[in-house]
Amino acid sequence: MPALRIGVDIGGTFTDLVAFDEATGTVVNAKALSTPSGLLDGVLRCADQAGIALADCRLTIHGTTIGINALLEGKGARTGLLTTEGFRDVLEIGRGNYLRMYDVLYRRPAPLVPRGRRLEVSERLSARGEVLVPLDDGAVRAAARRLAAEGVESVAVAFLFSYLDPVHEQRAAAILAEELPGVAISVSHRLSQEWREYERTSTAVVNAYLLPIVERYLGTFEQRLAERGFRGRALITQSNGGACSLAAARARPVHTIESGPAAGAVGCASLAAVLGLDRLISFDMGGTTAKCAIVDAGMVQTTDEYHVDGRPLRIPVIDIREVSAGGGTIAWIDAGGALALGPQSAGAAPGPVCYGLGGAEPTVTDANVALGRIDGSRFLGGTMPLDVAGAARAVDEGLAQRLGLSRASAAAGVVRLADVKMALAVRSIITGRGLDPRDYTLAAYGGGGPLHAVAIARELGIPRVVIPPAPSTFSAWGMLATDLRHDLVRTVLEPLEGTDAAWADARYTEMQREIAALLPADGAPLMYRAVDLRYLGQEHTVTIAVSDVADWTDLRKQFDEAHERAYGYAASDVDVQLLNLRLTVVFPLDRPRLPRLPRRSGAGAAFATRAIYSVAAGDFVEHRVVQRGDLLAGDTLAGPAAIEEPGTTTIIDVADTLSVEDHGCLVIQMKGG
Amino acid sequence: MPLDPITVEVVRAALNAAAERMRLTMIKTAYNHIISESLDFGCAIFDANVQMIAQGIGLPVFQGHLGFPIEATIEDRGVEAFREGDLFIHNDPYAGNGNHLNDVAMTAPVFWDGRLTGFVAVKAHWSDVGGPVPSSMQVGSREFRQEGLRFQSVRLMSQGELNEEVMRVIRGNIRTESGTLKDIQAMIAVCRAGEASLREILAKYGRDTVLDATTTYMAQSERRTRAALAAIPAGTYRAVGHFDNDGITLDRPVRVEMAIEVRDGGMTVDFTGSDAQVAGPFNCGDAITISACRLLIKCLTTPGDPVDEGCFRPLRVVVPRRSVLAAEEPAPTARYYVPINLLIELGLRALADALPDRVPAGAYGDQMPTIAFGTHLQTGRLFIQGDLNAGGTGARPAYDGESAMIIFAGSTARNNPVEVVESRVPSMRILRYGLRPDSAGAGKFRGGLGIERVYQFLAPAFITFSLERQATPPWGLGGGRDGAVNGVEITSTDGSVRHVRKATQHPIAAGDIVRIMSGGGGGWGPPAERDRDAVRRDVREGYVSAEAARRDYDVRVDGA
Repeated sequence: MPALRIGVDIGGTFTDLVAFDEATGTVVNAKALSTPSGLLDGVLRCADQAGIALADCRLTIHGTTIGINALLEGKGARTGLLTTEGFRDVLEIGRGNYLRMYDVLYRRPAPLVPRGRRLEVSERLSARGEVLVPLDDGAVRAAARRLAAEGVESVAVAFLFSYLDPVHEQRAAAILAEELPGVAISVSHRLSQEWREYERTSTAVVNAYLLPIVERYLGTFEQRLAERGFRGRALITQSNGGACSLAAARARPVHTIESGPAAGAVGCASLAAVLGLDRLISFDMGGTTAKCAIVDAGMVQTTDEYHVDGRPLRIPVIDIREVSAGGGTIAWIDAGGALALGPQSAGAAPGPVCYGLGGAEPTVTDANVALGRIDGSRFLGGTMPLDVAGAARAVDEGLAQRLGLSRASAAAGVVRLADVKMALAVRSIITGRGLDPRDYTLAAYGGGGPLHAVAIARELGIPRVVIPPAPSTFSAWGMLATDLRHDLVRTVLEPLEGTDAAWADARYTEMQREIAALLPADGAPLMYRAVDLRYLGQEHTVTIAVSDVADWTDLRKQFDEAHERAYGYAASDVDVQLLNLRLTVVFPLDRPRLPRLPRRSGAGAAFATRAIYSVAAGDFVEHRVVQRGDLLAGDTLAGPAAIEEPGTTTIIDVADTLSVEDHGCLVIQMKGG
Repeated sequence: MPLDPITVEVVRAALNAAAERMRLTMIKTAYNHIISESLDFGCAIFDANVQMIAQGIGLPVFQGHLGFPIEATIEDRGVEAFREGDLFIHNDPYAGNGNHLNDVAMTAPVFWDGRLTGFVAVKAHWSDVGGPVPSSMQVGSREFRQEGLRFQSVRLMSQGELNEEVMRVIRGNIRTESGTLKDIQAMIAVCRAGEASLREILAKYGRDTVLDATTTYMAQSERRTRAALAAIPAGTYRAVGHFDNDGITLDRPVRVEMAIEVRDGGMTVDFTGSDAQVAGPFNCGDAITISACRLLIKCLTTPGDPVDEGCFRPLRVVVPRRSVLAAEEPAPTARYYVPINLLIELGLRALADALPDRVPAGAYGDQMPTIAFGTHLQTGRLFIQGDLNAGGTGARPAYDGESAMIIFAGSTARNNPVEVVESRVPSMRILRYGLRPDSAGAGKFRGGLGIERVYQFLAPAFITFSLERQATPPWGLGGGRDGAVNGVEITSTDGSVRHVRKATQHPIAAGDIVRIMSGGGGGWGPPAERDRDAVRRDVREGYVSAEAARRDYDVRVDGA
């Protein structure tokens, strides 16, 4: 009985694989170098290395960077675009704004479809969705022939007001499919049903640009798995923090753009369930950046304001705040004599000075090594001894001497500055959503997360920190915990008082039907409905969850109250406008069960002691040092302490207390928290 | 003992995050799209000496600006007028505002341990501030009183109590449909967010530490700026340009002259030689002229670094009194941005020889605001639809200009989507929104293209226009040619065509077609040196016609 499920994360440097055996509850991790020319070879090497027979796998979940790489490197398909007559340049004009205010030589990325391959056809809807000019079928056929002559592999269709009625887009797509066999067609209303033609067109064009690339890649993926005897279900993680079928990913590759980074946050959502917590901050500190996201009521929070390299995508994407404060981020003295951190990073190559691979400038990791917070002899389980003296020298020469500080003060300064930068990033995402950090638990992972988590929590008044098992490969584990998820937002722009429960129910049902096509037929998906409301004439909206459409009549009151809470006033004399209907459909999959640790009877885990610089105390302090593998459920430990494991170290301050939860999570209670 | 450099950075990061919180509060709580979408606002945090220690910017020309209304209030009423919980509003064009009456500053003191420790300020564009026409902005006003209400350091909130009497005056004089009353509440929320953030920082690090840190990092910014200025060849660099007219005497261009002296790590901008203040609303006060020069020095020296008062200490600005750039009462200022747009581009042009790799050719040079208003077909109420139009930017020394960008002085603003405009105003339909072929100035590197936006009005309405850059078209550099100029063309149902450049409340009949055409950027380098394949590609893509390719570049393209 095949009972394995595997998660595969192909990153820029490494391919990570996590396998979970549902029968025994064991977890196996494997890592192999990514091969840019044959990404899937890395996956198979990982499987071999871990001794996994793919025939035994029930489920494979894959986080892929194929889409984002093709977009950033400009290696997508040769694409055409069909628009309403008079509007082919919308893609190039965009919104006309500079993204860098002081850059008089600012350049935008070139449009993905050059002007000569953007063709117009006669058709037009009004702002109320009525047909003003019927679609000219002949013009669509003529455009198809021109695009065929141009040798396009993919075509996007984006007409004005298609979110109100897709009739013309659908008809044009059908004609294109007839005329252009083998050419992929991406239609704007199937990807986004919100107003703002540039953003919707850009979304359709990015989808078209990526479609043939992702299609080929996933075809090969499926085939290579089948050759190894894989018979299970294969899924792809999406930017919204959920997974989808291969078929859905092929049709809507734009949703895979943030496939990789979403996985860690998804893992946090699952962790929240395991720990019985409602609210978590997902905090991932890697080599070049630190990223944070929010989990509320078990759901990863998403945003609609997302763009890649200046190209907007009007789809829900996990709301991630990123800051250049990773382990490899370089600390330096700027022209004004100030200590600065990043954005330059030593990355994986040459890496921090202490890696001994040619890095010369001090990094955050070097500062951690110089302070004894990372034990140079035990890095990666002792397989990669660090150049501690080199790190110290880099801190001395690059920073301490020029600032007139001791080595420890300079290194502590780098750590403190990194802590503050990361704390501000966490705070901005929290307060930006109107939330209070004191209501949250910080879940920290990635190679650097556990080193810095306690300081960040203290800075923000977060009362509790959780470090999951195997934090350095937590992102790949996160994939195993994902559910299928699809979102749809539809602009309706109606006066709220002109709508009622029956009106809403009819539209939500229609939206559900559209999404149902993307989900397996079996099972009972969960529906989350919400509305975006605003006062007539106002720009911003407030989103209100609609748990039951029968409560529709109560919406006005709920909106006034929510607006008062968020913005300090309610305008009960002004009509309310219903801008968007929102629907999120979640199709739950079985969760992997985290294995449980045995409980200890008798004395606590063995420990050594070592002098580690305490940033809080401002001096070297004796810390208890425990190997994480020696900890058992129910163990407790008071700071100052360091918990070491192969990929990272967890640092606990004086007076904070740690307890080991049943599944092996380290739960750190902050003093006074 | 000097403060350790780490604490300096920690405090700087915290204050910048506080300013960012103010900025986001403005965007999220504003009612009108001119604030939340076009970002016509700015906010900042100050120490007790009105030195700017952090800012959150919407509109570029509002950077380095918000100290002026605070100083004007201190000058007018004494610093003791600022009590805990007070809020002042101020928009006096001649003292501490500089722009039009629509841009209202709100300032508040921040007290700590009973002592005045700093200030917070926000300025945002009110969609209506009273006066004879919706939006309050005319092209033919002759004094400021025709442009709406003037607030001279008016105490809107007194020790935490909203002054309802002032609100009654405002409510009684503005078009309440404009949503401005709600934007006032949003501005109060911005000041409160800034005040709360600054207090948190003072509580956390202590007053003395915060003041030490800000003093230190402002000195660092000054050093960085002086170091960058020292890298510019010393000398005095000059430029002269004209904007089209003052809106009243239409055949008389108005002169702006500037001399930029860069020497010994300092920069002096002298506007001597510029015309005296004009009769129409194309004047500005000196506060915004200085702010524009601050934008210029920032772009030229340390564009990637944090902004604080230290960045501006090496700058000295000389503006002749009662000139078009330092207007005095009662000169109207509704179109203050016209001389400002010009001076920023002229400043860059002046330095083209000193910094040959960093200065673009001239741009279309104007936001081309079009404000349509009339009766909403469904609600029967007044609608006001304001749009900014993008145009071509100048070619750069090593590549073509960008097409369809909003002018640099307002570069964070965005255009309005067709679907949004038509949904909001059912009587306006947009027939075409596209690039304007052959609008770019020819050159080794050509300018960016302007746009064409064609509206049809289904019901009678009015439009207020103000178009620039005919007197000084988008200029070429280094042998590049000028770009096409901005224009508006109105076609009636009987086929007659009107060309309009400046008009207030211009009547539009049902069925009229209004074609807005923005200019292209100037070219850089002689057209003869342009890569022939680039010319052929431009013809193939439809940016340049076959005829223009032959005329400007001597390149023949068959079958195009």
